[in-house]
Amino acid sequence: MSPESVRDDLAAQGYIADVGLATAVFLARELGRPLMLEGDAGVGKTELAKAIAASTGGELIRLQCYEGIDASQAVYDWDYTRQLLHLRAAEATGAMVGRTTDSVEAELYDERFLVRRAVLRAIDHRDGPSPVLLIDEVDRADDEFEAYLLEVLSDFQVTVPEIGVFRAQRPPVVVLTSNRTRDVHDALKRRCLYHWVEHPDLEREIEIVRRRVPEADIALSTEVAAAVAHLRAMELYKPPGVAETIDWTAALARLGVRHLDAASAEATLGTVLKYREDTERVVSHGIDDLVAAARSGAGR
Amino acid sequence: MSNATAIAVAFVDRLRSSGVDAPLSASIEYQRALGALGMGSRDAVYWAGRTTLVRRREDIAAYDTAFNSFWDDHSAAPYEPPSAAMSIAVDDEESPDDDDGGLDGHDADDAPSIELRFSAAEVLRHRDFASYSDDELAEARRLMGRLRVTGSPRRSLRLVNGHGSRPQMDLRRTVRAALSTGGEPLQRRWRHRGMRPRRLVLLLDVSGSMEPYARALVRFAHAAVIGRQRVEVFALGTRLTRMTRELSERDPDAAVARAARAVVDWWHPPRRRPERVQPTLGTARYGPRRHGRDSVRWLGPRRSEHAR
Repeated sequence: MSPESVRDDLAAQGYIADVGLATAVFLARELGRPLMLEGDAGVGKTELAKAIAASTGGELIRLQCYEGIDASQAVYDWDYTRQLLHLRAAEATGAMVGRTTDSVEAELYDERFLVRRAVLRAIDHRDGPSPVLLIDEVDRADDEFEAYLLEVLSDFQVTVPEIGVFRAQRPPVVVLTSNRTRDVHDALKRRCLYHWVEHPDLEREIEIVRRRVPEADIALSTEVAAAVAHLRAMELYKPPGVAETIDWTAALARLGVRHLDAASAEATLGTVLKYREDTERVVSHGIDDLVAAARSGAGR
Repeated sequence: MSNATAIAVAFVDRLRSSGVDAPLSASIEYQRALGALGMGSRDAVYWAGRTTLVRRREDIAAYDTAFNSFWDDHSAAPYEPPSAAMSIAVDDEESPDDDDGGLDGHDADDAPSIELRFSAAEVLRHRDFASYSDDELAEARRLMGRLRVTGSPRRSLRLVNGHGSRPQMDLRRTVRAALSTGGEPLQRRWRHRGMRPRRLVLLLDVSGSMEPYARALVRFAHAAVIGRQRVEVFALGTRLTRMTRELSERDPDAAVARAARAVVDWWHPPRRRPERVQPTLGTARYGPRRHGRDSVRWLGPRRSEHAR
């Protein structure tokens, strides 16, 4: 395995990575370290995890973080209701007679009552290629959960007090993403390899669009990519990401547009700009200017 | 220690001296990454370090500089690092007291530049209050009236219903829910510690040179007092005057008028500067001693920024 082969594998899945990102993925797999990805929304952080999973054939296990997420939702939980029903059923059939409390309790904390959540599933993985654990938008979770992740990500093990320690036979490929709504704690970052995902350059973006929207004309893909590059330079409130470029191209292709023009661009602007203020700003600057910039950018 | 290791360690050292915090563990990772990638190409060496030694986007520029200067000392080949400069739109709340005194561990240079981007509000943000026309002042008032000062909350001791990150069993509600399932507690109920806003202490400089700003500041303080709980506002001229009570009136104009009457040294040139404000706030005169500990304090505006 080498960074180049990683890059080719990802490209085969329709994900065009630059040399830095391919090297980061290579190192994450080679060194067995989690990979922390930061970058603007829509630059393809989540897509990367999907592409890695597809290229290695491992299962993609996704953990979407949110405020208030805790171990019982991310790691494991006991199926309390089933435990209770089991106890009542045992009582009703008389199976409890003559047994010690300890043995009954041991039966209640059996693995069959254990609800495996994303992290435990990624660690307690027995056969097949290593799964890919995607911990998405970790900046949304709170500090306690980050502290818990520290333990999991440094040793790749989970301790369930009633059963014992689950240890990963082969560490999963872990990808963490953050949109930087707040700073993730340094201790967590220290356990990870770090990569800042940039917006792709024009050539790479054209290639991405052509892969993801094959039905669009080459001229159209090129012009849309150039137009988006122009929009990104406009200091918008929410600069469009690659996802928006793909959506825009797909929308125009569906409308049968072969060349970007002012009318079709204005009609489909909603696929690429998600704030009214941004749209107003672009319209006030002139859609014609945008189209002209796109044509000249594509021509170069 | 091999030659390659020595060079790598020297590079980490150079990086540290340019202000990037690279702990020992990162240095070890760097060695491993170099081992995996080899030192055959500049790209490999560059990205081995970028991935393992840099953990913040802000450090990338420093890394590039250190990389260039370090490796150019060792070999003459010029290297252009991949360009990293790109403007980012910071989607941040527009509340001026976002910064709670560095409690989040934000560095000063880490703070996102807060800037309103749209419509007339942008003009207002960059203008000095001193040069406002009446129309603009009315617009500013309207905006401030809509402003709600929040700041970062802290965890309170009071328990609220729900399953937070550290839930505690709520026996009373669990038993009540069990009544509907024949006495079996199939559904458990939880409580967890809620959040409450930090105490916010505003110290407003209303002395002579600040006169053009004083009204605007008081409007801002009024928005804070009306918008949330646990706010204390003090006017700071030649003496400290508590204005919280005066500003708790809902009508902004009436509140500002009352505040102006309460502050005796309003708009007079200072003859002496108050030297020790902190002890006054800490005493039992205005609330508990904890004022100093868990509160967000905001002193504004700073004289150096706005002095005429």
